[in-house]
Amino acid sequence: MIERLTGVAVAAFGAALFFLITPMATETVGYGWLRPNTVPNVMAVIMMLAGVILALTAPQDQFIDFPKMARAAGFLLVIVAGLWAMVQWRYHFVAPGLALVLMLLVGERRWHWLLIGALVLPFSISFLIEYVLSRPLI
Amino acid sequence: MVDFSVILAGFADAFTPINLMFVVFGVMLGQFVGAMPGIGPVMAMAIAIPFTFVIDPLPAIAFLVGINKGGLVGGAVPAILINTPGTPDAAATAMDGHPLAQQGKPEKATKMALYSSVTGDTFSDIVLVTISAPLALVALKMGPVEILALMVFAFSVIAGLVGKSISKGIIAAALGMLAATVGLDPEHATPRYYFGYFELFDGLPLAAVAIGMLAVAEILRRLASSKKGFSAAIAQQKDMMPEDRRVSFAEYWACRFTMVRGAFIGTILGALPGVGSTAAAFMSYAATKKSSKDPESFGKGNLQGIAAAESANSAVMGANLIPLLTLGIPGSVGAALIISAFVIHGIQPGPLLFEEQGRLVYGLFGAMIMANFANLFVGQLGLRLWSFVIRAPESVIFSTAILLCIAGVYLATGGLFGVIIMLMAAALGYVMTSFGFSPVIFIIAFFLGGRFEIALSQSLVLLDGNVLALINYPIALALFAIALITMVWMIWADRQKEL
Amino acid sequence: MKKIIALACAAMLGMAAPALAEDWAPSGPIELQIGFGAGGETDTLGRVIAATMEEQTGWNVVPQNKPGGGGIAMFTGLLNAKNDGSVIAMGVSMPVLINLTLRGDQLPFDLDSFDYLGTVTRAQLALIAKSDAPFDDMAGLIEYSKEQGGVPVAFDAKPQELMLMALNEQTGAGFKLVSTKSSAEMVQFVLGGQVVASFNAGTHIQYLEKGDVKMLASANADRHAYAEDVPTLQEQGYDLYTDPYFYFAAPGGMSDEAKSALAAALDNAIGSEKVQDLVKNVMQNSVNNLGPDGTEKMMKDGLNSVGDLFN
Repeated sequence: MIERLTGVAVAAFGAALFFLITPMATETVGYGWLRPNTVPNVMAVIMMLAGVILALTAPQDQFIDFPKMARAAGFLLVIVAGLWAMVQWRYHFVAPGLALVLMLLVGERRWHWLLIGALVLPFSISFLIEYVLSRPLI
Repeated sequence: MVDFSVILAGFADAFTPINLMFVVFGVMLGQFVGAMPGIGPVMAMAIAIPFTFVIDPLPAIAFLVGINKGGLVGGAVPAILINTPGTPDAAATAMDGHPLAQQGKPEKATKMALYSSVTGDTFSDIVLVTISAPLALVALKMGPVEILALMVFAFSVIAGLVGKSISKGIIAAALGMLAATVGLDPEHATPRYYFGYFELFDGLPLAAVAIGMLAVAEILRRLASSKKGFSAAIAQQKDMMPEDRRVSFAEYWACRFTMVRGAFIGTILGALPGVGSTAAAFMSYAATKKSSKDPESFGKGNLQGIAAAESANSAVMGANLIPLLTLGIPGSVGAALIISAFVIHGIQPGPLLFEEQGRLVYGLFGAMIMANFANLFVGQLGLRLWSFVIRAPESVIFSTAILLCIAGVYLATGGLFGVIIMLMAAALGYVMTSFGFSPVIFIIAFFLGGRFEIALSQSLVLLDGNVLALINYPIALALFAIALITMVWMIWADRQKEL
Repeated sequence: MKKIIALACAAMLGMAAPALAEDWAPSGPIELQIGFGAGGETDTLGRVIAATMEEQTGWNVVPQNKPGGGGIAMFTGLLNAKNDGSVIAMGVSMPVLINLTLRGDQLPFDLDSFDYLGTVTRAQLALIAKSDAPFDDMAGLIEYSKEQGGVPVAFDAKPQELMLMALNEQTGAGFKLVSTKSSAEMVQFVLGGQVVASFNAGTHIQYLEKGDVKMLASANADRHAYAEDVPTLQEQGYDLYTDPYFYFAAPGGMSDEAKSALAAALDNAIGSEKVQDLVKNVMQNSVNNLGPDGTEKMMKDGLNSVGDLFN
């Protein structure tokens, strides 16, 4: 079932691309062989066709580990939050915190590894980049 | 042709202790920085360039060559050990390298990568030193129509890697090609899909998408599946057999045809500007898998797979210098960075380079040969260090890897925008994998898509949109025919297998 | 080794030397944004100028690549940067002017959004063909193209494309326009015979010396120093030219002290031997700093002449 739905979703995306997104997000040009929308439209048609084929044939169903995907999404959210914090308070202050949160979330409790992962390594990275190489970080 | 005495003088210039020192230092730096997930060899060179301002031209270039070559070896390390390749060609290495590492043989996998990388590299260096001039003349004849045909041929070979579901492979490729169309279109320079973000005028940043899809997505997967984060990233048995920690000569020798084929593919594609190591690594890998008696063993830790990918992508780098030194055309970002080092020292690469700076060019060749040996020796020690490092728990490895990816992409793309693209690519990569679409196919299409569209646009103009005019392009016709035969043969071979 | 140590010492001495007696000094590091990616000629120029400024003034000048749309992304970001002299930007005039002309309504800035500090040099644009081509100037190329029913000509930027289209319209030459990504690619196509002629911004000069290619015209407002005998397009009777400058700007509304101190520091760096050599090596050209007012005038005049090209 998931396989068929995936096919439908891909075909729908291809159609949306062809009829809505591409006309809106490309400019029309009156000359030349390869227009700005030629390749995108070909790709949209390919996706529509392949999506329909996938929906119709679907030889074997794909197993999807949704709980794991939710956990991964959670970790991505933590990283996004970390990035947001870096923009507010600089990389070298936030990086240790982000590393600490990630390590705690995966269950690390041994203090010496926490020390290495959340203090020594992040500080080494920002020290190397910002002071040794004098490249500004976030 | 260059005088023999000039060649000797050039090599004599190269083989001095001070140059050797710079080469070895460069190789060490390259192997180390290249092995950082999310940073990689190109970044290592970009960082090092300012330091070469104050030294003489030859040591400066020797240093950069060292970094470049060391970075090639280093780049394979995170791909093999923790499955976080930073570039598409390292993704080809990871296909068999990582499974082998997971079987508890990380040192064997990285050593095979080292040996085949140095082999491919040496092969293309020999080609560069001996026949770069005639090869450059051949490359000149490869115009847009021929490049287009060559890319179609490359696609037809790589298509063999598509996997079980052909329609899913095609969808992944179409998405990748679509992602490549973001930015100014090649013919009219009108912006596409930029949604108000002017950064997208130059297209999606390659490094951000590759690192996001390949490395960050894998890190997310590992974080999400780690029940208890204190297991080591790679489990190594204590009482390991010595033969599981090294590559025997018999094992190396068994890969000789694979490596020669990889080096050959890499050298040819490297000599043509713009096609690059992605196509080479995957073509070599696909060809090796297809011609193997036991294709089922690929993707499960076959040494041949590592040898195929690494020999090809390393050969590309040496061969990239062919158009650079003879025509002044950089074939890759790494080569472009070497150009800027030349230019800063007042040397303009181009047709007069061999005549005016012959001694320096042969000095560069000498440095390249030294760098290959240095790679071998530094690698022996360095790889041991890495297989020690990954005994650290996953929690430490992956949280640090995330910090490195953020910092690396921030530096490589010049800002926050690239980091955001990287995280979006990671989400897409994760979802694609979960639903059975190959992110690697996406990335190949994405990396080659831009070049493909340019070649297509140029070809259509040259042919006046008339397919029959192809008659005037015999090389292109031959390549199209070979591509067709390859596709038919592969479909036929698959049928045979099913019966 | 001795030479290296000596150079390193010289560099350190340079940094330690007292800054020029100015009323103004930056409060921290100066970020020098470069509107292109690492490795190109703009990037190389920007980095060397940053290093030279740092040496001469003792300020901490940090080059940063801000690629995207030929500088559009960088200038968009510059709108939100502090105008206390801590951020300056290096771009190329043409892409900015073209985008302001074509899609100015979509851009968040116009020419008045920034303060202008100076120029480094002008890019020299030539039209070239293979040396054994059966013509020597533009009239010959156009005639040849008509005979052949239209020949392919390569370009790598919008103004060049517009000039070719204007030539097609004015003369009926029937050029087939081949879009490429760089001067190097265009030289390759000329030498490989894939195109009959092309524009070029410097890569061609060595080939010219070697005798592999010939130059048909200068596409700038005046002739090139390395080929004084080749007339411009205008001199050949086609009223077309383009003058792309490498220039420096900063967020608008800077204090006068900061602006003049930065402009002076840039002028010193651009006038230094190192930068002069680089410009000579990379572009076969000499440095040409128009100064703050001259740069602003150049941009405003440029916007008008680009507007003319499109009409």
